[in-house]
Amino acid sequence: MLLDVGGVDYLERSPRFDVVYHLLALPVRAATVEQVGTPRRVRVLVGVPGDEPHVPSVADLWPNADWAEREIFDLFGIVFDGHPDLRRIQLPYDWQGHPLRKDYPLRGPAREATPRPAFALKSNVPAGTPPSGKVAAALQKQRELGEKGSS
Amino acid sequence: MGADVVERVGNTMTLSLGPQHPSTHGVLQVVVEISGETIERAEMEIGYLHTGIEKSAENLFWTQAQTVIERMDYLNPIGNSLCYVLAAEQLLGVTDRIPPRAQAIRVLMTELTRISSHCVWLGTHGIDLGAISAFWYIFDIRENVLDLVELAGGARMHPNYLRIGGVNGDIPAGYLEKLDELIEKFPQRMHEMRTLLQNNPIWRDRTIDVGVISPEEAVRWSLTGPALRASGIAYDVRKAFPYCGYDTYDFDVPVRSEGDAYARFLVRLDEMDQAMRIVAQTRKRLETPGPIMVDDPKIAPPAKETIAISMEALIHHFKLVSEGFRVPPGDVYQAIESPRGELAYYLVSNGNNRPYRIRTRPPSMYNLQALKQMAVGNLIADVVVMIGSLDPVFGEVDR
Repeated sequence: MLLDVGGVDYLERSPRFDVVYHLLALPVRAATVEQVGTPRRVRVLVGVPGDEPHVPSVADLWPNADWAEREIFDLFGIVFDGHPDLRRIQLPYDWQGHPLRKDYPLRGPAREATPRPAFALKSNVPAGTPPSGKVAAALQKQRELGEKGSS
Repeated sequence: MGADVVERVGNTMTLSLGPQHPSTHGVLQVVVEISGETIERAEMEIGYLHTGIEKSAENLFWTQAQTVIERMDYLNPIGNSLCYVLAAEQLLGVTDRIPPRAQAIRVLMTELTRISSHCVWLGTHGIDLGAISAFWYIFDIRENVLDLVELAGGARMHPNYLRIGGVNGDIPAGYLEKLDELIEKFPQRMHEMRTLLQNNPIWRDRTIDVGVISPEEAVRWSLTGPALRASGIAYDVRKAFPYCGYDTYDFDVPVRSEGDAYARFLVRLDEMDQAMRIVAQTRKRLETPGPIMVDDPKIAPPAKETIAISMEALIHHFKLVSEGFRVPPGDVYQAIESPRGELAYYLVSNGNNRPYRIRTRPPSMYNLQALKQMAVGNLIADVVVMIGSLDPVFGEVDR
């Protein structure tokens, strides 16, 4: 069973990307927990160069790789050769860029260019506000103890 | 709303169901090619709920990331954070040092959310098929369960109660008595649900032999959870790769061989009973008090009261709040049994105070994808039954 296909972007490394396959050796005839036991789990890491991100598709071996590979294509821009239907899956078809790449800005390219509003930079607690809560209570208690000790 | 005719070619007609169709449990578009009323091909369009949670989480501290991760599978928030927390603990190398009381609270909370998640599935699956009364009965149980989650964690849906290293706080006084009330009430309610639905002739007609998937196909499509176990494979992550001390609990894994929607329904019902069995066992373990956080000041924040008195506590508190803790470099794949199947996180750390990569294995996405195979040869009206029986959660499918 192909458990999962995932992608990782190591921006500075060469090859830049990793495509991560997790496989599980699950018996088909296993109606009890004992028959399943602890199946073997295998992780396969495939390095993919950043300038030409191409990997052969495994969708012909495991049909569930279809959506997983489309998602990696969508979010990392890695092309799976031989995939039957390689389209964007999570983002709109006209989206620019691949958001899970490490060089893609968190707030998106458009919003990154605009400055944050002024109120977002200010603290909502006015200067000089006395402390409150558990810490203040503990401090008060310690002060009382200290006063008792000195008298 | 409803079905729109997209095109007609020869004897077949292409119909679009959704994305705002009430039976899709979220936002899912199913494009089906039908000949008469029989489905010849089904394609799905997902991504309407994509919120970039993985990207957001990679830009937060290890503890902060948990907050957004809980929102992926919104019916199983504690399961999501449990899986993430276990993975991070493996990277930190503190897995063996988690106190047993914290483990028991985690098991209690995940099993309670499993019950509440299955309650939502059962209620909405029933509504899809016109069995509305079941919804009201089962949501009563769900309210009781969520009250217990709120009592311990502080919130009904997304308590963010678990922490890397343990849990946020101990369960309050009088909690176990409240839990006893639920344990006592639950079997009667489940019996009512079974009498309402299990032998209901309409329910049986709508679900038996609908959406059949063979064990071979189930493995090929990477089905997990109740959908896989209804096809006759007893794979449960809690038994195969035990975590949180699940190997010390006594519970059965319900398995059916039919592989149809009715089998998936029965497996989930049995699973709810088993979850309550585990809850009753954790209740016994929680009678003995003990620590609830790992004894490591680099991970566990100091008690609030000590901050004003101890300088070390103040420094640790300041460090944890202002820059979090660093996690040794490495990668780990941690799986848990979520109500929908094998939920897993593949975490990569580069030694920083933020996770480098969080890859989710979303069980709903893989389960839902099998609909492409399952729907062929079934009637168009049964698409609703099949989607319901797979129990997808779109917060998780789209992330």
